[in-house]
Amino acid sequence: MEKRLLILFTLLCGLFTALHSAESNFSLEEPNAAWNAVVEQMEGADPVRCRFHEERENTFYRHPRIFGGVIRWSSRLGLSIQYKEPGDSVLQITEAGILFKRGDDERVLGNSSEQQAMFELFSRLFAWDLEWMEEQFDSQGQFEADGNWILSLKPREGALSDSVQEIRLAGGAQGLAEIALDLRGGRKTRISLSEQETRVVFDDEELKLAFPSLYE
Amino acid sequence: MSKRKNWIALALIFCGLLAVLVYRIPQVHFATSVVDLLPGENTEVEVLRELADRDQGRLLVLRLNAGEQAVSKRALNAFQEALDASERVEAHWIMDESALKEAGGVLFEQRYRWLLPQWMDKHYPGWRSGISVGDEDVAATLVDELEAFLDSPEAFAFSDMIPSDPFLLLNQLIELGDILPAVSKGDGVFLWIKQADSPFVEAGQDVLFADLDRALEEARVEQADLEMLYTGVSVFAQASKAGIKSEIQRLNLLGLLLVLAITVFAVRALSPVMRIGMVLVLSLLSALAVVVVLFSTVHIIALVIGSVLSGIAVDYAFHLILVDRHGLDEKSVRKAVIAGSVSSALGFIVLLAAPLSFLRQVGAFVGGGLVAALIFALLLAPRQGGKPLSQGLAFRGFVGPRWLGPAFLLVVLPGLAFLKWSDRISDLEYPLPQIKAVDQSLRQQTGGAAVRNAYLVYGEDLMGAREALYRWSQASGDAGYFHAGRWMATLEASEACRQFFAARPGFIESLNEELESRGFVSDAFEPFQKQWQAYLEEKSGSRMYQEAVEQLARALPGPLQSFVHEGERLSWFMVLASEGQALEHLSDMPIMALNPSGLLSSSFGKYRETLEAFAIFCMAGILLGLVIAYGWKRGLSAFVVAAFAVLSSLAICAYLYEGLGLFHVVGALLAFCISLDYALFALESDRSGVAVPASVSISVFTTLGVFGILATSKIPGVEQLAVTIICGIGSACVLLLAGWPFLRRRVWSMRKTLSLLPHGPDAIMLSSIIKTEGKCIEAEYTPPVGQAVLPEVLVEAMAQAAAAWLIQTPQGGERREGMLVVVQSCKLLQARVETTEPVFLQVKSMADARDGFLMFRGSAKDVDMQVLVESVFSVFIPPAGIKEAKA
Repeated sequence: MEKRLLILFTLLCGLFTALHSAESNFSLEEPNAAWNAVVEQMEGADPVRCRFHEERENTFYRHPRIFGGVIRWSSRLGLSIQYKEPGDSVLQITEAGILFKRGDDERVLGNSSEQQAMFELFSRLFAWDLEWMEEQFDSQGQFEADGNWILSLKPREGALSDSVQEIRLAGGAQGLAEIALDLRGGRKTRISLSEQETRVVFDDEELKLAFPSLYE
Repeated sequence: MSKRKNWIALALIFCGLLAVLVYRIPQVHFATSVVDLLPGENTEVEVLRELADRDQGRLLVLRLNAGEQAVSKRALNAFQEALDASERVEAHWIMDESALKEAGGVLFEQRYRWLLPQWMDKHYPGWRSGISVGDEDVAATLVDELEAFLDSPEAFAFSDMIPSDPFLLLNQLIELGDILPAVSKGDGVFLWIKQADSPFVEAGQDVLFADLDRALEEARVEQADLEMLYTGVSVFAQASKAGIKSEIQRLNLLGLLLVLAITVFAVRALSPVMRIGMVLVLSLLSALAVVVVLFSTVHIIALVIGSVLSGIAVDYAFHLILVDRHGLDEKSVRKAVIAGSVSSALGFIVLLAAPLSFLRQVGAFVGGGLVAALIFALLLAPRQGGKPLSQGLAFRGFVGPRWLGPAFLLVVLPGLAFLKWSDRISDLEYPLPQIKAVDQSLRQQTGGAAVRNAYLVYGEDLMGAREALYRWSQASGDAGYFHAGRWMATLEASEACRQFFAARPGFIESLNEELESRGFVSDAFEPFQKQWQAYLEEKSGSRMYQEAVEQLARALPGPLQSFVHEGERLSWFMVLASEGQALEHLSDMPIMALNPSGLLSSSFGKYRETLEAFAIFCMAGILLGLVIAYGWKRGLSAFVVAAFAVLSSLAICAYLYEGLGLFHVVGALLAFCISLDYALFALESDRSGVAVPASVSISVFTTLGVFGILATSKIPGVEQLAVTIICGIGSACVLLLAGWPFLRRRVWSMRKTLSLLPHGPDAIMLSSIIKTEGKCIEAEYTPPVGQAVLPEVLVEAMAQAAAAWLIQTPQGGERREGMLVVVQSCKLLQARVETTEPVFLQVKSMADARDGFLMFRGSAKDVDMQVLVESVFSVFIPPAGIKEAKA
């Protein structure tokens, strides 16, 4: 009897999950109403500032490498990743290229298309470029009961597919909360975003620090 | 020689020339490449030839696009497959980092041999000199770097290579990507195509382009709206060749038609036109025969410049073939032509001693052609007969006011102060604006606009070049330069490094311990450990090293192949300096700056300077010849006129152009030869008291006309040559017409003489006075239209000619006049004189000019120089006392 009850319970749980999934699953090609609401919320072109915490895992290293700092984005200036941990440096990603600055050392990165694609990825994600995402990835999204969502992106063809296996974006009421990347060779990167501010105004000092290419 | 023998001789010469040309031309190489103009066989020339013929010159940049759409993979594959099938295409690459895949593979394979020594140099500068470096030290340094790298943001994109490359050696190649073109996305797909053949041969042009068109057709099966654009040396070479060919044809045809039209208009008879044409053709054939016999390689530009020969040769034909149609006697004409042609020919023949093959070819062509033109003109000159040319075409020299010549020079010569020499290879370029626009657009889209100074470090083979590069980098410090030596240690360093680690068998163990102690998983580095063992155990040596370098040279894509170039006789490594940086330590090193257009332009400069030196030397020789032939006064006068004409020409060109080059010098030399010719005739005519022969006028018209047409050429060099000659000839004409202050004038104006005849304007029968020389006067009588000529009229015309002679031979500063007293005899040699054409009158005084009775003998001849009437008559010149009493 107990066994029958257990089977019945399992079947009901499965049915419930299936019914629930059918309502909340979506893709970029076939968005649902809930996702459209998220898109509406995210699509503003206002400048953004947030803190980030990044963990990188490599198969050849036992512990994740930890990075942290501030991410800034504006449609006009592009994306800036200011690292404060483990050392101070800035990556500025614009349409013109990727500028890396550490102290007086200033270099342009991203010569290979693979590298460029990787850095461009972040820029597109923060710009919430859904058209580009739809073009580049097979997508599968899911809403959870608490309103949080996860969007899984698998690269189709092109430079990204050579290095990235899967990207998972997670968010909720506060917007994009986490970016997780599964890279080829067993490497993983997880970036958590916090203290998000929108409609921020970058003052001169901040601009100079975060967008060094403006002052060249 | 008799007339018949002349023709036989000419026929034999013509056949001989054809035989020589038919035999020699197939054996002679006619060079067309600008590179072949470079003087000498030095290394720079070798490099440039290698670049143009085998290296960069064989590279095409090609773009495929489909409007707003991306180029599909299938269409691109189809295009590439068609390229693979073409024998005219040696290799092709898509212009992105995939092009570096093969080279990257070679470098990855060779990373321990070529990149590890630099890692050691960086961390242990004294490792080669035997300082103590332990296994643990190296392992600790490696792991330190590894950790630092993992802490860098950019490690995100690179870390998958770490298990195979814990030394991070491939990170040294990051700058390799910098030299790849930054292709703008959305502009289509860009490819480099290396053609199998030289860009200067048919197979490397039309045949290749047809294969590219075919490849496009194949790709269009997959994507119909695909478009293709490409650029490269072969595209320019082919279009330029076609443009120059059509331009030369156009200019030559127009020039020939103009010469024929002027000649026919002036001569109005077929026979002399044909003779002149024969002189032209035979002299050009002779010039070509001389060149192909003397040289096994002839540059086509030498023939183009040499074609100015026709401009001078036709003048000799005019003067000698039309000899009996003007006022100067045959002897004076021949002397002037021979003096002018021999001096001009010598001027060009001396170029045979020039150090530059190209100038020797020009010297042989023009010099040989001039001698031939003289010989043929003498052979084709008619023995007798021919009607006189209309004296309306003749002009008298030195008739302008005395101030005109100095004033002209005063205005023009200050231009010499603005004279600057500027030698540009672009003067030989045929303008191709459309192709240039496509080229610029494609190069901009592929980021080719960045300017970095390039240098080549060369050696007989790749090993020698690598050794030279090492010596240079040691001497210069190597900072700020980019070259393949950065990815490729020398054989010596490579061997030393391998032996260093082979002597440390415990290194891997130390490394694993260090890795584990710092949180790394040593087992994950298994790929590295296996390759490391193979590296330590391998047999190496110079042969293996050279093979690897050759493999890399072949693997580098497109223009990057220039970084490591293996040639048949010369190999090199290219060094790029940063923008604005110049390479130091050039002396004693096998290094040259790579600046093809600069090198070609400086070669042109050498040509010009050599030509200038030879021109001065030749002019001295010509002056000597003139002094011997004409005496110092007349010889020097002719020389000065020609020299001032040339100086004026250069001065005018200095006003017109920003800088003068080789073609201005060639034009000036030619203008000197032609001006000298005119000056000799003007001086001779002036001395004989006759107008300058009409043949000189015809020559002036044809020369100005032909070079006026050439001045419309789109090729700057041809235009410069033509303008210089026009300015020179124009200046010579002004100086010959102007009052020449140092010249004693012997000229009587014909119009003035006729106006002083006592007969009154209505009774004057003479239409022109051809010349007065000594006791002789030659004049022309043109009968009224529709009236038969009576012998008495001809005698009266002779008497008027005698009166004109009296006017032109004044005594005691006074003009003389007399009256016809009696006709002693009048012999009518033709039964009936019926002519509407001019009658040629020759009257000779039988005594020196004096008062009283003077006897004259006269003859009248028709246009064919057949005597119509001969007469002897006396004229009474009243003595001065009678005239006074009469008054």
